[in-house]
Amino acid sequence: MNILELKKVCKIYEGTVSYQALDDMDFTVKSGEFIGVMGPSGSGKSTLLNVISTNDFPTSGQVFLLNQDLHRLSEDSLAQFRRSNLGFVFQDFNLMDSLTIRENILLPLALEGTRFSTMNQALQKIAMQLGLTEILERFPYEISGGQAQRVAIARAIIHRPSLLLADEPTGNLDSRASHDVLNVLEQMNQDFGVTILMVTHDPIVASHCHRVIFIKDGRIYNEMYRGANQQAFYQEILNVLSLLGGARYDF
Amino acid sequence: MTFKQFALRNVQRNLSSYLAFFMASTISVMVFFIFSVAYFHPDMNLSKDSGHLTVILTAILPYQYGCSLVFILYSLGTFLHRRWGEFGVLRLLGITDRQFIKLMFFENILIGLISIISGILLGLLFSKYFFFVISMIFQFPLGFSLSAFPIVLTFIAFISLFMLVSILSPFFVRSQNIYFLLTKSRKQNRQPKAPLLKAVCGIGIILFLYGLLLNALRNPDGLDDLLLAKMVTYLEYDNILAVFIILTIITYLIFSHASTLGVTLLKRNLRFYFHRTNLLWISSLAHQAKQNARNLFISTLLITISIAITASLYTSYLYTAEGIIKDFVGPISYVSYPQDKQLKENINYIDTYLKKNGYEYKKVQIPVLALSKIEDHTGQRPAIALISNSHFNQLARFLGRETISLEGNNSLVLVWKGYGTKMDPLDEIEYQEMVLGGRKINVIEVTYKPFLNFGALIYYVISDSLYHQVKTNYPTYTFVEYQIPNWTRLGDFSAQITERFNYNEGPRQVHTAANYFQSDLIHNKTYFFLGSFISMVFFIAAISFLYFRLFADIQGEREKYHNLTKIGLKRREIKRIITGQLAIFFFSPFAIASIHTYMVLILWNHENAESAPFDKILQVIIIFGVIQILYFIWIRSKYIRTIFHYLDQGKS
Ligand SMILES: Nc1ncnc2c1ncn2[C@@H]1O[C@H](COP(=O)(O)OP(=O)(O)O)[C@@H](O)[C@H]1O
Ligand SMILES: [Mg+2]
Repeated sequence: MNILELKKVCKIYEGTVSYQALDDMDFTVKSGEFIGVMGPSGSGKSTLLNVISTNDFPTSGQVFLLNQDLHRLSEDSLAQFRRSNLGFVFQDFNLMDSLTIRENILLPLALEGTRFSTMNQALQKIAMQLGLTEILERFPYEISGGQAQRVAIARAIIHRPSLLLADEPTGNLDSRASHDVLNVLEQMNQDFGVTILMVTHDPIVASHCHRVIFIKDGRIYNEMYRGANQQAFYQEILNVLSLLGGARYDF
Repeated sequence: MTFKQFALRNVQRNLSSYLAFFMASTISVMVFFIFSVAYFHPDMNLSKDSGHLTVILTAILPYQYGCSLVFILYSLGTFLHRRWGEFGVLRLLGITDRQFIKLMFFENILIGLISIISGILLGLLFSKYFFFVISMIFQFPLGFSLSAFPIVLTFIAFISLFMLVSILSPFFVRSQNIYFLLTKSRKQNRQPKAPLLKAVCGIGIILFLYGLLLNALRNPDGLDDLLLAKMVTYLEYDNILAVFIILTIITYLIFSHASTLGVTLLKRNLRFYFHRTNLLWISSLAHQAKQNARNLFISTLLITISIAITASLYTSYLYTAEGIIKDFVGPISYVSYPQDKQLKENINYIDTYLKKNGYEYKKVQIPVLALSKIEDHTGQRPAIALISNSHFNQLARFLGRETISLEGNNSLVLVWKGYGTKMDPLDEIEYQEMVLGGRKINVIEVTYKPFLNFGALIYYVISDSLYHQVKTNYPTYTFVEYQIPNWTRLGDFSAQITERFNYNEGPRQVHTAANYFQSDLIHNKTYFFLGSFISMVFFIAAISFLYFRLFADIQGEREKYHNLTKIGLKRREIKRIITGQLAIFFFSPFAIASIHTYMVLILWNHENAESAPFDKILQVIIIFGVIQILYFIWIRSKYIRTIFHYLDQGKS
């Protein structure tokens, strides 16, 4: 079953100079897939995620999520759809300054009106997995960038979304921490069948995905499926990246 | 580039963060200015008046100045806090302390000057407009008149205020180290360390102070015993200022201490706190508690003042007649000296007139023995007189009060406390030292209720037997008191009999309340007119402070809502959160101000509580409430529109 389908999606940013950030994007994602998105800085990865997540409208083309044409829904039904079916990890975390870490993580469940005891159980589990138990009572400005990223992930997955969209979730983490995050994501994917679409610059992280999509100048440049061997997949990814070449990476 | 130019550029570049501070200063200047325009208006005649109203209005001027100082210092604090990052960079680049102080000084003087000028200009605009509108509403011709004095006063008052602020402001920042300055500017206030302890202390003090006031409400004379009242009454501001000060402290504690209790309790109730959008609005209240507290505090004070002024002037206008009669006991009082041969004839004259013109009336006639000359009550010693028990009872029945029965040497002392007397009331001890016919008088009670408000200052009510024993030793005066329900229409007749009876300072006094009615009515109407004008200004200032507080933060708020919609917050929920927050923001000052207004008015009018009736005060509160609700609806829709507009922009 297709969970996500993009048909001829274009995105043009109007301004003094209008800029075409997405150009005829066409691809589908099956339920349960774990997909990596790679590409140079400014190639349109974040724009793609925003359009998929219904946080931005495409200029033309259609986006089907769970077989619904989302951009036809009203503002409030969209919001309802987002919070029950989608999870996001934003590039800039998007944590709320006035809420503690605990409150930030529980926010999606609270908005849904989940029972308090259920909320707490979910929180305990996720905080343990992501190593956040110690910092639950702190405020966002009292934790490091890596911790903030893990909090953002916890918030994105606590309500078990059917599709998780992550914009460089390991960007700020050292290799050990990014390994932990990757583990959590893989576990979500395997155990609960959460579909994941993840932007990353890290070839090692990407090599854990089932499929990697390469984007350049708003178009799909290449697409690769992982075989049985992760090491070989890693090598292939490095090859494509060097072909993509020239571009700067925003680490 | 000289240093002055640098300071100027700095102001230009930081315009947005200066704007909030500038607005706050301008509003403070404007309110002060408009108040002084009204206060020194020639029709107010405040310098020649010594009534209660003057006292309250005079107390407001320095009070408002003090509030301005506090408020401007507060605003400066938040303003500087916002710019700590910038200061950190300057310090990192090696600015010296001297340069820094100079920078701060120039900046503040610059902002100060601009806000003084714009405050006065705005004030001129507003006062002209308001004088016009209000004179239309009241059908009352009162010209807008402007002398240079209010302008000069405002200018001097505020330029010195800003000088003071300029000198103080470097100390806000200088002591902090660079790292602190660089990092702290991003961070928001944290919750206090022990919120419950703080809240409980605050609430304890609030209850104690309310207790003092309520006690004073039940027993108005006890108000004089308040320590604070003693401290300030010598300033001749009356104890109303003490009430103001107590209410100010209470208001401050409510917003700074008691509110944390509310928020903490809400937070402790986890099931409630983590239910849907509660999390968002409660945490946001807690987060901004400190800044909100200041603004809510200052707005509450201003709203209290404006409602209190309007309500008290309104009631004193409505109850002009009652206010006069309080000083007179009866609308016509006739004091006949022993050598007055025309007592009968004159009383007949009055009775005939009243009967012929269909006035209902009652009268009482009682003899009084004068121990000292009572013709002139401005003498060195207070004039003293005697009344017999049965005559007193006659008078008491006439006034609808309780009668007494006195035996032997027992005596009741009536003291006339007010109106034109320069004498201090004596200590109660001194009333005891009275010897009549060789017998020491035993004073069993002293009362300050008005029974006879002319003639002597002190009356001894003595038993009939003692009265008859000493009767021949002293000259007898006769008092005739009238009660006439429709007395306010007796203006012309009053003037006529005053002229006729007092001709050539005859051996009698005639006092008529109606003589004063018309002039007092106009006087009270003028006060009501100017008072409502002043109140409007205060009220506008109060809601402006709320407005600025809200819109100073809107950038952060719309960013917040933008981020929240990304994770699925609905518009409907955003509306609900905003409505709740704004409602608390707008109506909590109003509710507290209404309660405090009522307390102020009751305490202020404690001598005649009947002229500060609940329903009349309620009318005024409702009018202000309606304005407040309209304002709330307007601000709410404007606020929501601004936020939604931004959210729509994010999706192109
Ligand atoms: N709101 C916007 N308005 C105009 N141009 C934008 C906007 N957002 C992104 N862009 C441009 O679109 C291109 C793609 O941006 P983005 O999707 O953020 O790239 P990536 O995430 O791959 O680095 C960039 O060149 C960027 O400058
Ligand atoms: Mg990006």
